[in-house]
Amino acid sequence: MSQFGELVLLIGDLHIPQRSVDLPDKFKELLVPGKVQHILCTGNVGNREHNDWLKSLAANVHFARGDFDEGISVPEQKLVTIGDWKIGLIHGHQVIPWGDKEALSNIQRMMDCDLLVSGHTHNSSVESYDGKHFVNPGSATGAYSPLTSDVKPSFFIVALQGRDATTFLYELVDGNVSVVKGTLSKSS
Amino acid sequence: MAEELVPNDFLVSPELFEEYFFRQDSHANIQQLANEGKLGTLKNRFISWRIFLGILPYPGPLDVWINHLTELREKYQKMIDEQRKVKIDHLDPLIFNPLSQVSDNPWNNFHEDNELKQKIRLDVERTFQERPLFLLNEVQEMMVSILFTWAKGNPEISYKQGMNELLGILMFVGYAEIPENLSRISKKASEVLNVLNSREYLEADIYWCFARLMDLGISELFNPVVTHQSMQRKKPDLFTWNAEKMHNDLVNQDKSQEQNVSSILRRCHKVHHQLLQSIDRELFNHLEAKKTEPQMYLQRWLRCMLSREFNLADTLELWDAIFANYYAESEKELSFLDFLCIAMIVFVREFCKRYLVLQSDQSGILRRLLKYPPVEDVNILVGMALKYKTKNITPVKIVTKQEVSNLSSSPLFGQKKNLGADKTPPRMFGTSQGSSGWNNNLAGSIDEAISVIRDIANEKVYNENKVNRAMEVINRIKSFIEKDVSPKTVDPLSRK
Repeated sequence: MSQFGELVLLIGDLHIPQRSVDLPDKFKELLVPGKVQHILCTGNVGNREHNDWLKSLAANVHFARGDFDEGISVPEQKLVTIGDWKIGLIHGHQVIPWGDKEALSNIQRMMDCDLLVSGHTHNSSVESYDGKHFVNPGSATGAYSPLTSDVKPSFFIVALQGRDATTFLYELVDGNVSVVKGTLSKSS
Repeated sequence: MAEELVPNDFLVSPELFEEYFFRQDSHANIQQLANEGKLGTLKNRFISWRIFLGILPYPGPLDVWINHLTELREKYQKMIDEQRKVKIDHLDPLIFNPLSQVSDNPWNNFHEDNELKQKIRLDVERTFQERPLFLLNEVQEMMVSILFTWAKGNPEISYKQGMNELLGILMFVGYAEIPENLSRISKKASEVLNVLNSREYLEADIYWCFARLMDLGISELFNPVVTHQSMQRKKPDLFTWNAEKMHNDLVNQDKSQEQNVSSILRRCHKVHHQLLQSIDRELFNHLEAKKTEPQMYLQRWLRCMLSREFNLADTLELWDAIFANYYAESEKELSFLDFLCIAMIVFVREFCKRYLVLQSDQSGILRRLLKYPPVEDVNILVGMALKYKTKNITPVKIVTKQEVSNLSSSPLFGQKKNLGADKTPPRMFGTSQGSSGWNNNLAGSIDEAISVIRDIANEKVYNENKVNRAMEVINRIKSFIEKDVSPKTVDPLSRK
């Protein structure tokens, strides 16, 4: 009940070096160590170097296993509790149909979380369904995806305070960073 | 084997609460109990301390207490909400988002706050590590929260190491006295006790105790700020023989009145140069000779209010006395703490003195003072401190030769023997009482010698020891009068 806020970075699907060379420069400028307390990575980072880079950004880093993550022993799903919020993390390639709200809702109920973070579609979104929330940080590098034609590099920062959460969607549009704010509230 | 969180001795007693605080007919004299070291037997320390600190007005009808507490609790909640919410509602997220480096980004405060919180957390985790109570997450979170709130509310001093120790003691008392088993007292009384010592508002209650404690001069002790005097000070004249002698007369200069030193230094010097010098001159001279700087041991004693020098039970007893005397005198500061420090030094005086003969270094003395020996019953120290307080010690001023010759011509000194202004060494005078302070001590010594002799006469037994001591006293007094040297304010019955 101490009401200190916590910042969480939601990021994933970098696919470096398979589908992208690197993160956009403007994103690299923003993502410096010490700004957030937690990182939830949906997976498919691509190489060890960027795995380590993510681990250097914050004290608590959680990974989920993506379909291109080989040789890395991380779980397929993970439940993280931050303050009053229970957050579920999964890559999303396991959830069929890919990106479907109801299928994700099944996963959310199985994990019993208030907020489910998933990726794979490379399409960033924030949705609420049945009182629970679903966030997809998209692809941080704008990597190619067979599902989406126009992929914009994106990631999320979520500020959790008590039962409220404020989401900031950082997207690279025409070479510039745009930030969109939203609010979520935990239902009991 | 699970060690209990709070030993039984420290738990609250609902029955005693009902008897002495709830019922309006019988009142315990908590001040006296505290001075005698018996406040622990009342088993309602949290309430007693809040009375002493002025948070609960005594004897006060209980609904006044409850209203006052409710007010304070709401105030605390408001403070927290204000301090911790990041105000971003009407700001453009493109510029004012958590990652942006813009200078007046409210998220910057968020990051600074986090650093402060980390710093506090490190210290909190090390507080009272040996007690399982302080390993509880709940307790640690509360402590971090309280210290953070205070630091944000007092940005000039912010958080400093040592505050966690003070808070630890308060936390222990507060947490221990959350009422558990209320079956044996009346329903009304148990309702009131649940409100006064409520678990839900424990954080707010302890915050206000802590804030009050800090207001009583303790926060100043953590303030490193040194106020500089604007005008140039006259440099001490070191080029004449007399001036150098004056400069070397006191190895450590008394800085208790100076402006350009920190508050903690000033207080350490006050305790040492003024209080100790007038209470126990011999010991003071000895420590000066050994070049023992007072702040080396007094700093921790004062800042942590002796909580690092004694075990928990003794610390609680000492704090009882400190708060009780603050309440009794209605002063603005916890001055009893100073007297307790003097009592502690005098208590180990024999140990300090021994080093004069055997070893000529100060490290032995410091080692003794920094690792204070366990005391059988800390009430001895409280008794000694009370005695010093009642003697009404006035600050001692060093008088120069010129001032002596000025004074000796004044009417105040007319009655005394005429002092030759050319051959008098610098003297010590009580500034407010003039020569009568000197006379008072003399009178005191004579009184005690007379009482010794009367005792012997009454016993009608030839007790050689006592007679010898009485003779010693009388001889010493005789020599004071003959040699005309300022007398030491020494207890005539103490052994040399």
